[in-house]
Amino acid sequence: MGMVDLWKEVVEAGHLAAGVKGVKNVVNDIISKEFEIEKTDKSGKIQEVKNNGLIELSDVLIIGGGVSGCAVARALSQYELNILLVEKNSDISEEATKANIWKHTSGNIGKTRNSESRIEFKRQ
Amino acid sequence: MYTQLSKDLGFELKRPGSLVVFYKKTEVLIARLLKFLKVTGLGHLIKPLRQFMKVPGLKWLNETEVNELEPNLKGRPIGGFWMTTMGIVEPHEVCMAFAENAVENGVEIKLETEVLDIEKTDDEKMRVITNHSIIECKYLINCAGVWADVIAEMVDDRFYTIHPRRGAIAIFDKSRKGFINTPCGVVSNTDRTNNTKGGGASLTPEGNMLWGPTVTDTPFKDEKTVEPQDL
Repeated sequence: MGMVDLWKEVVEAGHLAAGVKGVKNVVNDIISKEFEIEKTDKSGKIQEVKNNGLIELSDVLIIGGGVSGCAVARALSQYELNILLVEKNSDISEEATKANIWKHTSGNIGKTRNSESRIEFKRQ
Repeated sequence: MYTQLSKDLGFELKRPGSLVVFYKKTEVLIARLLKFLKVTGLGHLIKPLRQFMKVPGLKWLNETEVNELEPNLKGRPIGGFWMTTMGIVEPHEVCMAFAENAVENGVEIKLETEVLDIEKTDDEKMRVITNHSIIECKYLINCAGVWADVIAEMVDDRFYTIHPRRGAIAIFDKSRKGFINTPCGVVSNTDRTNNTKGGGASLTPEGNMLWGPTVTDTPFKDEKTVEPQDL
């Protein structure tokens, strides 16, 4: 917990903590004066849904209709399970999945292509 | 895996390979060392290199070969490393293919359904409160991407914080098709503070050239702004 001036200091603190040997995951509760992240109060809507009392049943619920959610749904669909996938947007693949470059190498060698993008081309 | 998936699900997969271009002698020397470790099999003894050693179709190129493969590169590349088996797909198409196949197999997809809260029941089930209804389930799988930490927090599983980053990718018209033959990049720089996620020049399966992405830390998970300096 704590407060710093800039958002980049919040991120830096998270990275510093993650860099400590033996640390795998970091919960970063530092806030910055630079940006105020508003938390919307959903308690009214939650109460409304509870009052409606509409209950659906499923064996597996997958939250998120990106490529991970859809791949998991497909993989589990081979079993006799009642599977439900929920997506908050009006279509699947609306966020990170849609706006990404995908490259796949046999053997999955990870970050070998991370670069500074300094590469330049001849003008034509 | 993706070769089979693309056949089974009918999405496009191309394997143009991926080229890392060297401009410094030290980069060439490191590449030669990697080649030595690969050829002799000694790389399998080094844990961080084990996965790398399993990759098929690696080629080490000299100056002439790089220029023949990519004649439009500026400067004088003195060598290159070509991972010939690297493939590219259209992520949206892959996601659609997975979803269609899942629905055919009986999965139900509910759109415009936002998770508001999650409660645990006494019989070890979970009651997920969405904006439409309550869904009671035995197993819950969190695939919420950049929102995954928010979902995890609903079940008091504070495990990590996601620091969102936004990026921009420039898409070139198909009239530039053939300008590059394989996605190209330069040697990795692990410095996080520069505003690139790596990548360099890439291709879509349809042949458009992509450039980027940039990367900028942002506190807002749904920010998709593109600013002039990104381009």
